[in-house]
Amino acid sequence: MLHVAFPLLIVELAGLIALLFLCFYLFKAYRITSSRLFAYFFLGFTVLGAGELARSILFLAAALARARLLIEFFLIHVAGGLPQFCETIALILIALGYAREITGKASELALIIPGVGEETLIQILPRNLRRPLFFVASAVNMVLLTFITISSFTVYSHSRKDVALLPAVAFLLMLLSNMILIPSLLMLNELLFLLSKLFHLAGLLSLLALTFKVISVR
Amino acid sequence: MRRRSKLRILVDIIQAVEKGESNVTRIMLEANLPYTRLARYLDELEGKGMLMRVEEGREVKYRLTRKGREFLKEFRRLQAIAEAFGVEV
Repeated sequence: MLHVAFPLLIVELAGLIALLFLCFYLFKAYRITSSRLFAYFFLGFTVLGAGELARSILFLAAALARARLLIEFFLIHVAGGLPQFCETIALILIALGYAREITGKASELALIIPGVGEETLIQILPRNLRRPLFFVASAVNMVLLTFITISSFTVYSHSRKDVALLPAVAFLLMLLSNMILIPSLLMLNELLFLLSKLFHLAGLLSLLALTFKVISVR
Repeated sequence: MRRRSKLRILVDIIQAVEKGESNVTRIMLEANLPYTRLARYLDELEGKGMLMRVEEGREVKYRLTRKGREFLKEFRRLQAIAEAFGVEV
């Protein structure tokens, strides 16, 4: 019987390709316009892509190892915190981009991000401390994603263009993913964990749709 | 009123020529530029190989090259990405 990690891995890889294309066009946009906003978004999505790559490898490892519970696999595996860490850094960069765009001053974000930076400890802390750190990282990601989601919907409400709706939907789905992840970690519930990953992957598919929309422009 | 960036001006000129050969007057009106500035940009675009100058008797017209079309296509993709994240180009 096919392990549950395999279909998740396939969707994850599709999302990774979407992020690669997005990073390519964001880098191009930065090179042509020299706009710092594009630099923030490019770096953010690049780090997010690095996290997704790590998560893909973990899904593959879980599938090959026929892991009984994915949530346990992610929590006990030493690299399990890496996607969360990358996501936090990526969200900080993306949020800085939106903050700069809206307020003109990226430093204002410092008021809403408490104590970000400890996530590097995830890699070296013993197993029994990792579960609370996943919880903390998810909570931080939720704060960042709330800001990013509101900002992206604000952008959409100004322009009313379909292309602006897609990143807003992507961030909303990622926010929902993190909201479900917290109870799944607290209850160590595999089903909720999988649901959280599905929402996250749906968010990546929304970014894939954005990529197709950009590529198809004539 | 926000000033156009140089990139935006060049794109407006290229878009004015996109549909077919255009004379300087028509480009001037569509790109909303005074003649002296337009002449400078036309020389620049011709130098970069994006526009081709065509002389028909006394009239001078400009035609979009393949390179110019590719540039316009890439710019429109860039614009789509910019619109997605609310960045102005």
